[in-house]
Amino acid sequence: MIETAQREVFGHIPHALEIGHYVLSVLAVVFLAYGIYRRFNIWRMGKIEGREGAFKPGIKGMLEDVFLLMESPSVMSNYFKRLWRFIRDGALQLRPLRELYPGLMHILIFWGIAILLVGALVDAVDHYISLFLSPALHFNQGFFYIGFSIFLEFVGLGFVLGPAIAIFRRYIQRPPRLSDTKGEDALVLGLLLFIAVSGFLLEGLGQVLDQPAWGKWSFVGFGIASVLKPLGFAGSLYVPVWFMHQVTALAFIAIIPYTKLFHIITSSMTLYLAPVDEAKGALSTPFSLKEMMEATTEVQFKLGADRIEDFTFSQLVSLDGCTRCGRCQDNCPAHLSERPLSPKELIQDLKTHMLEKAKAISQGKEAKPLHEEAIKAESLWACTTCRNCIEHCPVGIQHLPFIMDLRRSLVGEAKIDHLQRQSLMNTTNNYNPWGIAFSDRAAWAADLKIPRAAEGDFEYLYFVGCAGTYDQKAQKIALAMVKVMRAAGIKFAILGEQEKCCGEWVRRLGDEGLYQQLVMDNTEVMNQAGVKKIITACPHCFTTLKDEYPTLGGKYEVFHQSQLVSEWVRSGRIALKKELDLKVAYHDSCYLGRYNDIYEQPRSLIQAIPKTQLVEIERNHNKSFCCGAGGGGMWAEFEKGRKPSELRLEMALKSDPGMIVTACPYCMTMFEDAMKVKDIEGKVQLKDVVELVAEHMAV
Amino acid sequence: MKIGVLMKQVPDTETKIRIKDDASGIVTDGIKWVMNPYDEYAVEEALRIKEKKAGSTVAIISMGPKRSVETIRTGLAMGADSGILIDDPAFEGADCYATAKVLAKVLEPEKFDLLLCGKQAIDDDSAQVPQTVAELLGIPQAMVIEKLIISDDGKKATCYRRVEGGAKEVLEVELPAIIAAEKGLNEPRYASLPGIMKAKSKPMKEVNLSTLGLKAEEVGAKGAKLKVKKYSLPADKAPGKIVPGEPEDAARALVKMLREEAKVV
Repeated sequence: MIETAQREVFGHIPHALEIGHYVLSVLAVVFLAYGIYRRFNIWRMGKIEGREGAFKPGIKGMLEDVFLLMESPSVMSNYFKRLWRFIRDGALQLRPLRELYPGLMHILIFWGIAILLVGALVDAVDHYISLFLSPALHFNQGFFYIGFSIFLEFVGLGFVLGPAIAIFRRYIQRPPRLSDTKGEDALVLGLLLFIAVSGFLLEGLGQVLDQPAWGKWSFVGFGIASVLKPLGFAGSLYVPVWFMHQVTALAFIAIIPYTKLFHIITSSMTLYLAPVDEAKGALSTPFSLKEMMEATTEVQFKLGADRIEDFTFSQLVSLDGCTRCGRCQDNCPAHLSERPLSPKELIQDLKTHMLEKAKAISQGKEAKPLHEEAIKAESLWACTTCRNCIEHCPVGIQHLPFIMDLRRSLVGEAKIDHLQRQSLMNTTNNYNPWGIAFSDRAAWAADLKIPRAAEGDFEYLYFVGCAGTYDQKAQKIALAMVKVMRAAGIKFAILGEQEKCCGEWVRRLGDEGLYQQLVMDNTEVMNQAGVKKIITACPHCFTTLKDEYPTLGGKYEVFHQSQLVSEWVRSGRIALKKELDLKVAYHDSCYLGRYNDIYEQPRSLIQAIPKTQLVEIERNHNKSFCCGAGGGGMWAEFEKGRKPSELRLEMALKSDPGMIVTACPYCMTMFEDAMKVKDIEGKVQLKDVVELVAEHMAV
Repeated sequence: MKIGVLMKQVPDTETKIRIKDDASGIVTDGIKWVMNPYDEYAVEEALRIKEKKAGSTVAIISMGPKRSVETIRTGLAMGADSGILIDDPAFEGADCYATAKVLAKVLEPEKFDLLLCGKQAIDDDSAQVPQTVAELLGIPQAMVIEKLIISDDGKKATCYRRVEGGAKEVLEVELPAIIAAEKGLNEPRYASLPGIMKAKSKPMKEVNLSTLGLKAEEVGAKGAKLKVKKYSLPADKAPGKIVPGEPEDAARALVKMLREEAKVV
């Protein structure tokens, strides 16, 4: 009996409706294709590598662009890496699943649609090959049919559950990050639920009509059938329900490019197009200051973005890739401290502006300006560049390059406030943000007899950074590191008066010119001294020296001090013997953690001290909450919101530590200030991890 | 409006000043040269007037050695239109009077509608050049101005200055006049490096003794009415003291120190 089990495609369906189904299918595909084509033309407003000038509208221009895109490195480089990431994070949904509840909700819908679509395809292929080729090829029958039916029955249940959870979450639970619910959310979720439920209903009604002997294997349909059968008229509902199911399923396909369902395509593209570079923190280099200085004629360049067309094709695609899930804003220190920035809103505002601009262009009208009208400067300045948005975006949107290019154009137009100007002027004149005399750059090491790189024979250059040089508390970190390096027998030198600000925060504030000037000055001195390996005290110096200097002529092997010190402790070069009977909370710096994946080395140092108990602060490792100092935040003033550092201190205090340990002088300063405000100075200690090592070494 | 801004290049305020061995001046090696901060306000104000009054131009005029070009260029990058560098070995050793004489000679044929400058240069803090230039040119002057309003017809300037006792003095001057900026007049804008590079293509005129038709005896040290005999550093300040303790005890201890140690109360 089971051997003969099968399903008749278009069973009970009048021939006219069957034809109607094909007509509607073609229409749905036409709608889909047209929507994609229209949007593709909008994305083409963005820059495409190899294309001269602005985009050409129409199909010919589109084809030219498609060929250019197929050749461009941002599409074709690291092809297999991109493909693997696409499979892992997209198809297998590992990124969305990082948050279990919404991740499960999504995977039920995603895999529900995907598998049921495959189910329909299997039906179709089986139907057509036995119809047009040979009935002998008919395979969807017997055990295969039964097994597949059972499997699809489970998938179908999940597909009912998925939209149901989504509706419950969005309309009943209402988490803050879903505060921008729109009409299309109801439409899409309603449609999904209707398709899923009507599918089961249809199955039940089919069983009422056919009463197949194998019906019980399709257990949901069987259940429905046994409820409906006594009603008598149930059989007559089959055709109308079939029709509704078909129409809604086809409508689903047709409305993809016109609703949030478009993310099926755009989020996939975004995920594929996201950069795969190892150097996560490296920003783009829009011009070469050196070339500009050497040029005899005026060099033409565009500083940052003040029009939507200044972004790349991939960036514009990513605006459409945003699903408004809100994970970015739930991890954004600016948003959580009530400063005027939500990464989600930023992306959505850029998207809205992109569509308005495209419309204005097609109507030959002037679009409203990007700055201030579409995007407020205060939102851009609120960003601490902590990378938490990028880290948690399930579809790989790169928020920071947008913010950086928008900032660059603001700086180019001198639209910065007096504090930002002051810190940049200070750095122009004295090569440090505080504006302390550059001639005092080596004063912290006055009595230490550390050789200068220019004269000494050394293995490592210790790049101290502005904080270690001038900030009283951070000076202690540099002094501790000197002590540790000497104990480990490391041959090192410093640049002394020749060291200048690494420029990291300058670049992130948007002043590319001053940044490149600083890089030129530093690399000239370091290259002349034959520097090969660099140790930095600060994760910010670390990131830019390691990831950004190479493109501007400075190629070195760069280490953050916590990396090397943990290696010296592990190998026994440094022995940690003195006890510390204390609960120590470690705070992950953004630029050490998320930017460089250094999470365990600093922790291993704390754990290596006898009797010390390492405790975690909520939001740790790649979820760490920024202290607020990055991206120029250290030298900024905010009228709105709270200080991220105070929020972070509150989080740290919940784990009841006797000491808070950082590995970044910025975080140190921010915690120090927050402790003063909270009046807990002296009650909880604050140290850099290297200070801790220096104090507990056996000498 | 044709606006001219008098600008001086000075050592950065953080510079550790060193005196030459013969006490004849300061050691200029290793000094970072910047635009006199009060002149920044003057440049900014000129640019703001230019933005309001269509067809206006702003010229930066600086007397000093060749290196002053870089600072003029900063002004051009901020948005000024042209620069004039006044440089000649004969100008060396000038006092305020000899400097003003050369400046007046440069400014006279230019026929500026408005001259702006900082209230003083932060290197020698003389605060005499603008007034002397005004006298030599025979135009009105308004010094230490915190707020400036130019009339719509560009014929008059209303200048606000703070006077003793916290009062405000409001001056109305006929233009052309020379107006010197005080801190607080505005927030100067930032000139980014690419802007400074671009400013290279803006016109920069260089004038010297012969192009000005002056004689070496009238200018520089020879034309000066004032001669600096020697330079010396101020004595080191004694370190500050922190008075610890509860506010009441600390206040009591402080009063005692002021009375007995400092003998000021």
